[in-house]
Amino acid sequence: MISNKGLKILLTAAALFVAFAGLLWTTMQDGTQFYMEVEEVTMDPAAWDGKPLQVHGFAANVMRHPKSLDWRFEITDSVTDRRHTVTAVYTGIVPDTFADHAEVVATGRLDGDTFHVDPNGIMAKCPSKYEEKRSVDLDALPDEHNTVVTGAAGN
Amino acid sequence: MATVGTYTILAAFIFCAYAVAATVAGARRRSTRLIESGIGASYVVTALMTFASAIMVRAFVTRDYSIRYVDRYSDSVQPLFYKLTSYWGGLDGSIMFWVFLLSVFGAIAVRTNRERHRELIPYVVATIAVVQMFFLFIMIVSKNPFATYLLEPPSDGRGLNPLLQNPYMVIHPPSLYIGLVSMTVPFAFAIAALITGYLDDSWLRAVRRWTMFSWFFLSLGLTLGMIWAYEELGWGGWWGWDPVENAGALPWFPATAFLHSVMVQERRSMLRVWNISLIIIAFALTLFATAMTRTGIVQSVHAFGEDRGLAVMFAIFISAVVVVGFGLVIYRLPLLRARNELESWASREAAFLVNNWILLFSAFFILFATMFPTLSEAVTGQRITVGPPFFNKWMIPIGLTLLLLTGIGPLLAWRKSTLSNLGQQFLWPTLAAVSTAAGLYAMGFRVWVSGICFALCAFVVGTIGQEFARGAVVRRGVTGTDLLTAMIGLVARSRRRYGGYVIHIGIVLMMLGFAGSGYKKTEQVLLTPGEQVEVGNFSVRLDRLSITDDGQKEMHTAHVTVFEDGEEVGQLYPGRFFYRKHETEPTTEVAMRRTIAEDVYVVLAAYDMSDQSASFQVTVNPLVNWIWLGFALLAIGTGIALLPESQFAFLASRESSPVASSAATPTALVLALLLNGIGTTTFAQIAPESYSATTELEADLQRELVCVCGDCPHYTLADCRCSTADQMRGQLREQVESGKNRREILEYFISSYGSQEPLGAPLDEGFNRLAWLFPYAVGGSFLIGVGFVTVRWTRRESSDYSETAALSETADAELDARLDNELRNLD
Repeated sequence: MISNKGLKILLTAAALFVAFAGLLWTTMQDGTQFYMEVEEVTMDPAAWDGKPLQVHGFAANVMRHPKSLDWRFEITDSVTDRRHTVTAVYTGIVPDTFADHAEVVATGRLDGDTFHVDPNGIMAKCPSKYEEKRSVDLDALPDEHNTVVTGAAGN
Repeated sequence: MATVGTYTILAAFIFCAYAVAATVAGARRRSTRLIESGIGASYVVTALMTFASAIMVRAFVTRDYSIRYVDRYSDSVQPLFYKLTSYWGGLDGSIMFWVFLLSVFGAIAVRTNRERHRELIPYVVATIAVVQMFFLFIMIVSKNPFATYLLEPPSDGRGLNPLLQNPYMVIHPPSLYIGLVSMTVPFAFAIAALITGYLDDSWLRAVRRWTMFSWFFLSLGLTLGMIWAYEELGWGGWWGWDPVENAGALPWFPATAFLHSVMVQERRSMLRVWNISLIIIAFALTLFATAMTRTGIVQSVHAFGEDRGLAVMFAIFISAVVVVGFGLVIYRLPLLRARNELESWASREAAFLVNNWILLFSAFFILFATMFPTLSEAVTGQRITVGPPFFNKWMIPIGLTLLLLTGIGPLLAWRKSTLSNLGQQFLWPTLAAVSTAAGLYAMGFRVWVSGICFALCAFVVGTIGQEFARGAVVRRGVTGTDLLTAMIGLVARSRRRYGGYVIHIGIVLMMLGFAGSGYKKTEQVLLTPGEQVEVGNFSVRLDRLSITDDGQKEMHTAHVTVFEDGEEVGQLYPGRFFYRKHETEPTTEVAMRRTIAEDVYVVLAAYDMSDQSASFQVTVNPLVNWIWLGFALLAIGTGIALLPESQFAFLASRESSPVASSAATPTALVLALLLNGIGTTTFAQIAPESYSATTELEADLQRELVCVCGDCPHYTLADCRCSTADQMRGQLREQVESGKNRREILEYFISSYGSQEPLGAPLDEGFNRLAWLFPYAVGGSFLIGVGFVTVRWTRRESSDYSETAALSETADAELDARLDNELRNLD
């Protein structure tokens, strides 16, 4: 038999838990993004259309429209072998080391074949990541000093 | 020299192992010689780590690129200052820096406490040495900073990333490291107190200052990181809820909670289990923060890299810390019972308790949200991330509640506040808050979150101002001095309390800065010379672009003029620098016009030298500099709280004069009456004192049996001075002298007192074994959980990197071929 005090504590704890879980659920509805590799997106783009995504990969064919801050680039799954590619567009300031071969995580939404990156939605690896990621084999690249990607980020 | 460095690390590991063995054996056998030799070994570790650090620094200065680490993080054109700081610039060196700092802090902690806390010191040394061994082990098996190239070393290094060649970035990592590493000392004292059973409040005195020291450096490290992000990265913000930023902040929350709740234990002998748990949690989170940055367990733009082996080692060590720490807490529960109960929710201890809950909740919420991608992937197979909006939705109300409690806490009395007392205390601060809110509304400010924050800031300032004013007026009346002298005297008498208030003012200023971001304005624009953009009250005009060179870098600079309400207020030079070794990674050089009211923040985003056109991002950041000013005040407050007694000797001597000493007592009394008992800072504590035992058995049992008077928090018979303890000691001596063995004596006490209450720990038999097994069962489950997540995560990641593995194998084959060629040439 639970005492009165025990029951009160139990009810309070249950109420707090329900409130917490409810609040968590509500706030998560519009605060979450799916973290995807390029290959996962390209396998079934229709499934991800319009959903908030974070796409991880490497920047390629980075181009800026003259006299504007409009960028168009590709996100690929590998620096050396671009089997899967998503075309991305972005308007705004990019991190300092955002360039071809840069390892990036872009936040935005897929609209058809084009990935629309959110404002300030480009993150490139920060310089405090001092170690080269092992997935990029530096010796396999033409010029290792040009491909060590440790760029700034909008942290 | 690299070989000497490697052997120095090996020697440090061996001496650590000896320190653990000698101090633990010495404590158990009560051998002073063994304990002293263990302490000596810990000093040798400090000397060895200092020597290893000297070798590393020398390697950087003499450009010894045969050491891989030196090659990776320095080059010949790098200024000496940055060469020295490259020591902690990479993963391997940062781990060595960790051990070096810990060895220095450990030596200082042992040296300053070896007489005062003689019983604890052996286990303090052992705990610190075990932590050192863990990090030295990592260096020995996989992250040796002295590793050299097998092939011919490069003629020049790769150089430190230009973005890291920034003064803030030089001091930000070591500040954070100092904060993280020094948290080991309170943990070591907590573990020593739990093992020895010396759980009176004396161990708190040893760790309180260390925790404050650690807390200060964590705050400094986080603030410097914010300044660096703000000034260097060019996105106009200072905190982005990145996993690695969060990791640095995690231990800050339990450390802050502890600094508050320790007062409750000192004043009211409550929250004893809570406090020791906070220290264990804070230390575990420092390890977690260190692991997060170094193992890549969570995707972050800041992480050092990805290393699954290292992740597993950290997971095992953190689990061991949690299991052993909380296992000992459960084992010592009988000695950790609270002496008093919460009498009213309208009391200061209740406010501290709520503040502690919120702070701890904040830590676990951030931990949960930071780990959410990894957890979601382990459970559902789909990595789901949560971004800054999610963090802000939770942390803004939490921050505002904590700000409110910062104001409420000092207004409440210990034990219980009466209604009239509450009315008297809350009147002026509430008026300050309401008038601020009304004033802001009347002036047309409509950002609600910022408005509430401003009102709460006014409330806290009102509270603290009231505390200072009332105290100073009373003191002036008693001592007959002027108001300023009275206030200085007040601070000198209660440094922790008033230092704490100064820290709170600093926090208020920081909150003002955070709230100011609600009024931030940003424009992105393309300008040609002569054109201008308007942002808020400001206009920014592009004059021209230029290229200059200082030998180390080529500087592309925009010359812009800033106008405020149409009047020219200055020129700014945002630019992009191209460093020689990193020409493909230009750095953004933000230009700012800083004032106390706001910053005009200009970033050169893109440009065309041929027609002199350029794209800019112009941001007006209101009140942002209050964040940094607030931190300066926080530092001053910490300094006041940490100042030793001797710094105030001149005041003490003055007060020891007949007049002053007679005045001092009434001052304390009047303050106590006026502030309802919160004016006094001294508090009677039971000084541990051993009572002589005639035999070893009696001495052991004096430490195993606890006083059952009901007034003391179950001190051991060796420590307690009350009459009940005297009586129990008498009973114990009778039993020992009658020739009974340990078991018989314990049974005598159980039958005499009708329960196991006099026992410091439950007997290890029957159902009681559950109490012993419980932490290990929890720990085991935790380890299985960690293992499960790690396996799922590793499987997934391994498939991602299968292609990489193939590439690496090709590279390895090439490397092997080159090595074979060189060896053949040698033959």
